[in-house]
Amino acid sequence: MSAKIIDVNTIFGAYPSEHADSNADTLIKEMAAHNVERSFTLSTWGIFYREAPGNEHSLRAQQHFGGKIHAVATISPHTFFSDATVDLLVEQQFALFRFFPEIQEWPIDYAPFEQILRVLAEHRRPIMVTTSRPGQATALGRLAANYSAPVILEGVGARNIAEALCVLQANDNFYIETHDFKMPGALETFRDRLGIERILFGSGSPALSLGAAIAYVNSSSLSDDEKAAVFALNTQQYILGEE
Amino acid sequence: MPKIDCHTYVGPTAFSDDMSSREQIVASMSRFDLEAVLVVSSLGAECDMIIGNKQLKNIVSAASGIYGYVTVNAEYPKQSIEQQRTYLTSPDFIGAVFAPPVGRALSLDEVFEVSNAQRRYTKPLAFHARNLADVNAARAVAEAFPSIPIIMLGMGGDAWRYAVEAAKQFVNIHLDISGSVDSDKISYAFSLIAARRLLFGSGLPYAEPTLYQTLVDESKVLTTSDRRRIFRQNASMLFHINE
Repeated sequence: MSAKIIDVNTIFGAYPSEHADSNADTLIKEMAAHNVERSFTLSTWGIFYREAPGNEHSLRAQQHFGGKIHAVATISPHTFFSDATVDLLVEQQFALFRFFPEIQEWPIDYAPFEQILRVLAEHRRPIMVTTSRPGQATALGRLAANYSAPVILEGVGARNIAEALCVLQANDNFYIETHDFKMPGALETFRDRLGIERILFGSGSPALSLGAAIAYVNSSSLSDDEKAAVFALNTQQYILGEE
Repeated sequence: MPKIDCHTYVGPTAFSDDMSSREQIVASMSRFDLEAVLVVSSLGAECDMIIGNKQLKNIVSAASGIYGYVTVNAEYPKQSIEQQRTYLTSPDFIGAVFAPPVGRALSLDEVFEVSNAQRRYTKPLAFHARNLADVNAARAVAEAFPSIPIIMLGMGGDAWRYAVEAAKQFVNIHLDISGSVDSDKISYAFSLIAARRLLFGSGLPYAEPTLYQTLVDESKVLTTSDRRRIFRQNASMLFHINE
């Protein structure tokens, strides 16, 4: 099948360790090669270096590539000193806010992160948080239990998929991103336990293979309608608020 | 294109029983278009080498295209050598694999005796290469035993560049391409060691073969002949399967 695809997880720019050519042009080419309509993306600078120039890069990519890119903002709790930082980013109309506790080495249960979420919640902005290590999704489930907007768990794989299921069951505003799903049957389990609307397609492209991420969904036993929901419709409806 | 999957497991997962019996394995082979699978006992790898190998013996069947790795365990050198003696003379068992220790890598000292015994059978010796430490352990064995084909199952995980470097250095190292799904992984490996020592593998039922098939299919540097080598020919020659 050839469904519309919106990729909720792409990252462009240089990495501190050697990676595939991951500049924004490469991302756009990959998207075109795989018929991806739009991607949520942010610059690696914001993750590994400083959030301000990284967020600028992300906005620039959005402006440069028109409707193909939704700019994503990131904030490092390590350098969070003022609520105004969040307010400014909210004004700039970022579609999503992402957080990287693993790479930046901070715990979910962390006062500056809690404060950032408090401010973002006032603005009802969706967030996506890397929860690849056991315990992180649980901590986020407690911290963001009453968060006023969607919360996306990113980086969930074989070792914490059961934890993610529990967290999503307990929190109706939580969603799961698919890029680290590799096991046959995982999508079907999430669908059966939570409903197809809680699953959002993500790839980690261009560093990770966009084709492999798409192939994983396509090779599942989901119906065509369910695949369409995962690939794009859920993100459109629940993250972007599009009809 | 026909494929031999060099890295699969027998045993249930939280999501499926697709690889729990000979009949289910045959059905999975049909689903993923696999001519043959090389199977590790999950029980043997994670807990009980003796029972795991015994169960695996009842599942492997060259006639069905299901071959086994006999599990050996560095903590039990005498019993491991006995396991090698019991199973490696059978054409159904195509090599041995070290059980991966939890939370650490193997050392050359502790695997030396069992690795030395492996020379008698002229069959490959596999390692679970989950990270850089595992890659270094397998590389040390490859250097110490140049006559034994060494297989890195999982290609070093995120440390796949180091696995490729090790394979460039030691010609008896072969890389199963499962593990990470970095978009440039196959092209990078091909540029350093060509296609001859790349083996198609997935980690089924913990990962979908479709992911790794896509990595090979989408690599722009490979010819059809290279793909044929990776999907089937290299394994056929190395393990003497349907040559």
